[in-house]
Amino acid sequence: MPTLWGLTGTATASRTETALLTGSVTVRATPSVYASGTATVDRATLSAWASQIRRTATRVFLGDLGEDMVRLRDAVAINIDSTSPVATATFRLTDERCAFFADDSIATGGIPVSIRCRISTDTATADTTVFSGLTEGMTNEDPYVPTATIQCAGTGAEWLDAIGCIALAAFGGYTRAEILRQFAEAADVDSTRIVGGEGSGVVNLAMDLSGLSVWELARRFAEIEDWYVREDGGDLYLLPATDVVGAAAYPIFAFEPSNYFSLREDPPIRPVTKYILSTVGIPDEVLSGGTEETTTEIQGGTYSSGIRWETRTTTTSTNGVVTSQRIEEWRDAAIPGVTPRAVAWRLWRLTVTETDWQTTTYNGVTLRTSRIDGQTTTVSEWYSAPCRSSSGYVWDDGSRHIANAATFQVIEERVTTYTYDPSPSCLLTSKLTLVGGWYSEIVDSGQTYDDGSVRADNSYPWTAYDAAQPYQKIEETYSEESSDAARTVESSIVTSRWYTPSGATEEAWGEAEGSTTRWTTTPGSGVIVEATSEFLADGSTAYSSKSYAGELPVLARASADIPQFRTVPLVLTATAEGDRYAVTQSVETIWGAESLADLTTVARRRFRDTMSPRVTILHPALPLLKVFDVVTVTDPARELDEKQGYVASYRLALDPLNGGLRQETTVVFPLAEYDPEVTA
Amino acid sequence: MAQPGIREAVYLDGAALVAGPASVSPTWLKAQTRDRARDGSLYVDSLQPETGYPVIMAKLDLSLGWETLCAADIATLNEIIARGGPLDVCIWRPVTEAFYVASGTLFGGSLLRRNALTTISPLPTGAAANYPVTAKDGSGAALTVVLGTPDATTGVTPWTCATASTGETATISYAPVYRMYVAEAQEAFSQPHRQGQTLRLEEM
Repeated sequence: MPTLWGLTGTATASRTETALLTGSVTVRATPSVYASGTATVDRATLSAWASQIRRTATRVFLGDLGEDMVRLRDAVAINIDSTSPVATATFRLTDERCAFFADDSIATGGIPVSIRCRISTDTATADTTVFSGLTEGMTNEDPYVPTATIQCAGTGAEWLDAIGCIALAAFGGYTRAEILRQFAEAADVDSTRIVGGEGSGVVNLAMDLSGLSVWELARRFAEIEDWYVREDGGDLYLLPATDVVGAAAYPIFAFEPSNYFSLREDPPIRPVTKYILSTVGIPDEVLSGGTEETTTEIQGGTYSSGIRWETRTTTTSTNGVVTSQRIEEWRDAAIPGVTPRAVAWRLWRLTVTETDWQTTTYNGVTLRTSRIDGQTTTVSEWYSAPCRSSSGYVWDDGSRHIANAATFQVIEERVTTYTYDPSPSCLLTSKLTLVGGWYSEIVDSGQTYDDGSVRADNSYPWTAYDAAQPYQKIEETYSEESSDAARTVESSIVTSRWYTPSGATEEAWGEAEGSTTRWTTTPGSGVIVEATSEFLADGSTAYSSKSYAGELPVLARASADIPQFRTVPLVLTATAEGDRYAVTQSVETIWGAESLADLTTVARRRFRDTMSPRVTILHPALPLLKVFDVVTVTDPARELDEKQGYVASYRLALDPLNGGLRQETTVVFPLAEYDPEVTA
Repeated sequence: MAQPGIREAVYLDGAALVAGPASVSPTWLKAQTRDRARDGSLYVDSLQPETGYPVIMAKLDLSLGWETLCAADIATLNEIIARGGPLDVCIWRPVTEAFYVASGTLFGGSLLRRNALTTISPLPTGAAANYPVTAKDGSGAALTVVLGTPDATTGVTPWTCATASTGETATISYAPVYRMYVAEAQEAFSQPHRQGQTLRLEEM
């Protein structure tokens, strides 16, 4: 039986009876991902299994002590399929302990089982464990000594049982392989048992992974990354597609007419020929920084008085993040003054808002996060400051101003700064708004105005937002507490400005008014207690409390690391090569895909899986072959001339009574048109 | 060297039969799977349950036939049939078992049965001379082997030799005592007042 296990490197070969090859070598007996570097290759094992005449023994060991079950009936069957990490085994055993009420009953399953084959030839001996796992519950029959058909599940079952739960924020910077490993840890599986996956794609969108097994997550990622996933020896291997299919895949065994008994070919039956795959993803332009976009919105009309009005909003944004907004309010109006200007179409009010966002760097590109550093709003309109009675001009509306006519100028400047807790809380803890404006405080002795008030200045001066005592200061704070007994959210706002304290005649600058609201709940109760207290400029206070069924308010949060982004629907229509099959269409949303490239990989993989023919080969057992091992098949009747494929599944039939060790191996021949993309 | 045919009375678990079976039909059941590859190549898997066992495992299926039985033998056979087994049976025909022994290892292994010369008593006249234990190495040269104590349950008999193998197959010929079980018993009444019997015994 020819074998193609390839060895390269420096090795010391000892071709004695023990036939051990030791040394520092690179082994291409399997895809390179898990066997390279220093290795010891038991050539005796290969030689023994591949021999034409073999002396064999199949043994089933049960229990922690590994009792050799000698009363096996019929053949032992073992199934290994690439679609599952769990090998299964079946055997029939005649034993009193198969009965439920027997002493040391094995009827209820959960018993360790190991199946081993010993192969001897005149030149080599091998003792190979071909299955290990646990028994399942079983039924038994036969009148005198129970005979049970025992099903066993391989050790790989833990990959299916391990249910993890992790939540990943967007732009965490994790690759799919890293996410899979973190998920495995969450499922209490040692992540170092996941081998391979280098160079996998980075996930940008948030992921809430729960209710999945590690195997299921690996399977989903495998479609997107074009991995082939197999369980081997308790570890999970993520094999790149180029190791399994395509020109670079390295065959390790050749099925030839001299080493197999029969071959059955299974062409695809009504495969899907057209996939319409969809997902949502972040547009490339977002991730590359994007370009500044300006949009305009106009609303307008005419009042019943015949006055026309129009509001023009111009918004500037990058990647959907608004950085500035300009609102122009136009109307038919006269400029106020002693003698108002004639009614004309004028810009009446202008509001400009500039927003500064914190940024983060993603792949070398600076992107804005959802944290606002600061926001400045400037309002301008036709204005002249009010003034004392002995100065200024009386306009036609009877009011007194320092100028004889309004000029277009800034009437309010509002600057807000934001403070956040560090990650992972990211809570918006405070918001400080400083306002600049026109105002003169009331004093006992000063300038008398037309309304009878006595103020400090001849006319309202401009008080800048950054003055020691700005026109207005608004402080908002937010906090939350959580314990087993209670959860609390608190919000407060305090406004400082010129105001007249209770009992005073002059205005003072200070905290004029404010309120605090506190929401409290006992976890699980569903009842919220809301308590509010407030104080006003006149010195009065008020409080209130109420309870209701509901949920705690959600405070604002913003991450310093996650850029703002938007998603768009992505749809890929992929049609199989050629017209060999009738058109069959499949429409599906692909979980976890984020780009058209991902969808393309999925479509290519699915076509490769479903359009590729397969053969099932009956041959002497050779369990050293594993799923996704690359092999060649020669069968002149089917025009297979060293046709390269991979092992998709195999079934061992081991007869402990007459020594026969047979195997049915299913080999898939991937069509070249669906080969993976080779990246340098 | 044993002469052709069965030249001694069949030993049937020490039973004192007036007349031995008129026919003795051994059949060998090989524990082996043979399949031919697509190009005609033969692949053979032979059961070798333990290291040191013969390279081919075969069990005896034995039919013993009596055309006519006397009353005493009928009673004796009925007792055997009733008991079923295990029965020590020897038909005094030597068997040969082959053992592959790796290079550098002393010849040795496990005979599947007991040696009749040390199991049956009294022995037929001249048995020691007629049914000696003989052993050969791969080249045909004689080996001096020592048989150990058979396993009390299975009858498997260890054998050893002071000679080292060069990676060859040794053969040992001996007259075995089989451990057998009565699988089938068929009485026959071909004529009034005449009773025959067939026993089919399976090696355990």
